[in-house]
Parts: sequence; structure tokens; C-alpha cells
Amino acid sequence: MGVSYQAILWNKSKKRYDLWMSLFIILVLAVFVLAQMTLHPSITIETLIIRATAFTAITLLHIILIIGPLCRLDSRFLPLLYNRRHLGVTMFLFALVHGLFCIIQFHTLGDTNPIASVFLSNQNYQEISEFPFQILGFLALVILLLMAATSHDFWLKNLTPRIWKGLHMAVYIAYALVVGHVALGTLQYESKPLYWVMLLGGFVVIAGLQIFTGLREVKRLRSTSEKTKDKFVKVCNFDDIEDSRAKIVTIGSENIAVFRYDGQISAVSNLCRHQLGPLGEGKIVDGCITCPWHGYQYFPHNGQSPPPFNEKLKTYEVNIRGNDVWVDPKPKPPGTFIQPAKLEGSAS
Amino acid sequence: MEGLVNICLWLAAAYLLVGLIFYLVCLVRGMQTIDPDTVGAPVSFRLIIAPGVIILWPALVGKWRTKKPSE
Repeated sequence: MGVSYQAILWNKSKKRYDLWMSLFIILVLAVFVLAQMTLHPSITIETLIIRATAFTAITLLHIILIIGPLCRLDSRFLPLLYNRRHLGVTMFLFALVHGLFCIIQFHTLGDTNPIASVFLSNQNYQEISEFPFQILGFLALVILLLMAATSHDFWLKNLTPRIWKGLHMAVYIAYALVVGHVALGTLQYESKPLYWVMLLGGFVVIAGLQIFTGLREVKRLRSTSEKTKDKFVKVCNFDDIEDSRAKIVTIGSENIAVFRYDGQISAVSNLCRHQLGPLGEGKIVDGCITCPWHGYQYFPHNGQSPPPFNEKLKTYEVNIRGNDVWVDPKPKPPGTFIQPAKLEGSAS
Repeated sequence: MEGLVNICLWLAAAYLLVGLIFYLVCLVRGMQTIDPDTVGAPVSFRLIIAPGVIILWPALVGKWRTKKPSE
């Protein structure tokens, strides 16, 4: 970034996103509360709050985890990704309310510190049927807190995108802990198989989508041409790239987005400086490469963000021989101008 | 077990207290050394990063120390 931070950089899209998110959450809560009151007419308000916040948090967690692979399968899901961080923070707040109500209801009546009580009230670690599942939920909540607390771009910049991304990949550990928390809790307190079915269904969907998109990515990486000439590697034909779009290629350790625009070709790093989003899945808008995740922009010929922003991408030398596009996989320093390669006979 | 849990909780509380003090110091001076883009940022921004600063203060202390000589 190159401008002062704001708490939230509101725009029309984010407001629309949050409105739809709020409506969805209200719907989930309403359906769940109605179902609980029908199935358990004598349910107390505390138990209802504990269950409803847990259900909403888990539902949001599942949605968060499937947004990424869905976007890779179909770009029509990209709007869901745009403001995923608000979804994440909202999910944490529901999990926090759930955790606080559980601690108040189950751990404040004795003379032990309530948080210590979470770890001490049940120490049957040897018995799977009596395992203290609360601890798993507590640890998941700590991870979610860390992620929510670092969701602002201030942290992305100051922890560096790589560390920030690594930190936020802990969502999978949190998910595993949540699955353990719910599965063991259900085992101890619920005789109906409904919760097991829902948990297993959610796991199958998340794991299935992640594995499927992962395998597709591996296949794509393997399909990259390795035909070399001088220092250049042939990556595709000019016509293989749609106008204002890119082809993503991986040569050695370099993940490169080769863009076609105005009858010419430029190549930059495929990783957005914001959250390492796949730039090659974006398109050229107003003369700039535009990240499909959050709209960060870069000039294709030098990888620099338009002023006042100062993010820079690595750039790569390119040329066109006949109809073939060739890329030198040795990156130039971020922000280096590279003359775009033009198709012979192109007027642009 | 009880002793170990209590020690861990006291250590966590002490760690977070240091984080809180660091955050308050940063509000007065230091934040703009760590990240110049915080200059002119509104109070709401300073509040929204508070939990992160209190939890991850060692990362920012390191950044502050390495940047200080050039300021």
C-alpha cells in the first residue's frame, strides 16, 4: 500500500457483500432456532444461544473453506472471495460468543479459574467416549482469534505476505480441531445421528473440493511446455491466450502469468503482492492487470501498481517467434520495465 | 496438572499484559516508525489492530528495533 490505512476500506461491493452475508446469517439462525425449538420445546435460552452460535460459526467455516476451490473451478464464484475476511471475522465472533457462553454456563460455578476449568474439569484423556472435547474447541478458538486479529492489511504488510498466508493456513488446523470438538461432543451428548451426518457431509465436500482442485493444479503444472531455445522457454501459442487474459505457466520454481493485451505479450509473477492471489486468473482492466481476489492492479509492462500504490511484481523477458510465445524464466527485479513482445504484423 | 495449567495461564496473562503496554506505547510513539502508512490513520484503525498488536507484539518490536536507526 502507499496510502494511509483505514479501519475498513468500504466500497459498494463490500457493503453489498456484507448485506448478503448478514441476510444469510439471519436465515441460518432463524432456521436453526426454529428447528431446535420444535425438536426440544423445553430448551433454555442459554443452550439455544450456545447451539445456534456454534451452528452458525461452523456453517460459515465450511463456506470459507470451500470458497477457494470453488473459485478455481468456476470464476462465477469469485464475488464470494472478494470480502472473505469479513466472513472470517464474523465466523470468529460467533465462535467467540459460543465459547464465552459455554465458559459462563459450565465453568464459572466452581472456585477454579473458569479458563483453567476448561482444561481441568474433565481429564479423561484415555477414554474416547469421555474425551474433554471442550479443549479442542478452545484451541480452535485461539487459532481463529489469531486469524481474525491479523485480518487487516496492516498485518499482511508487516508480517509479509508469505508469513501472513502461512499463519492463515492454520484455518485447516482450526477446522480439524472443530471437527474433533463437534464429533466428540456429539458422541457424548447426542443420540441422534443428524449431527454426525452433517459433520461428515461437510468434511466430504471440503476434502473432495480441495483434492479435486489440487489434482487439477498438479496436472496444469505438469502440462507446462519445457521446450527451450537460448534462455527462453516456449510456453504456448499466441492464440492460446484470450485477449486481456493470461496463461499461467510454472517453469522451475517460477510461477508466471503471461498476459496478452493490445496485440502484445508481457509476463509478470503470478502472485499478487496483496494476498498472493493468482493474477493470471484475473484480466486486464483499464490497462492494468487486475487481481481476481481483491482488485489489486499492476501495469503489465513493468509490474508496478499505478500511483499512489507502490507494490511491484517480478517481470520476465518475453518474445514471440512466429506464433509461439517464449518466456525467459529468470525473473527481473520487481518493477523492472520489459518491452512487451509484439506479434509480427501487429499494428498495435 | 492443575499447577501446570495455572502456570501456563499466568504466563499467557503476563505475555498479553506486555503486549497491552507495548500497544499503548505504540499509540504514543513508534507505530509510524514500524509502518509509515499508519500516519494519519483514524482512531478506528488503531482500535482494529489492537488485538493483533497485543498478541503479536514480538514481531513488531523486532520491526521497530531494525527500523529505528534509519529514522
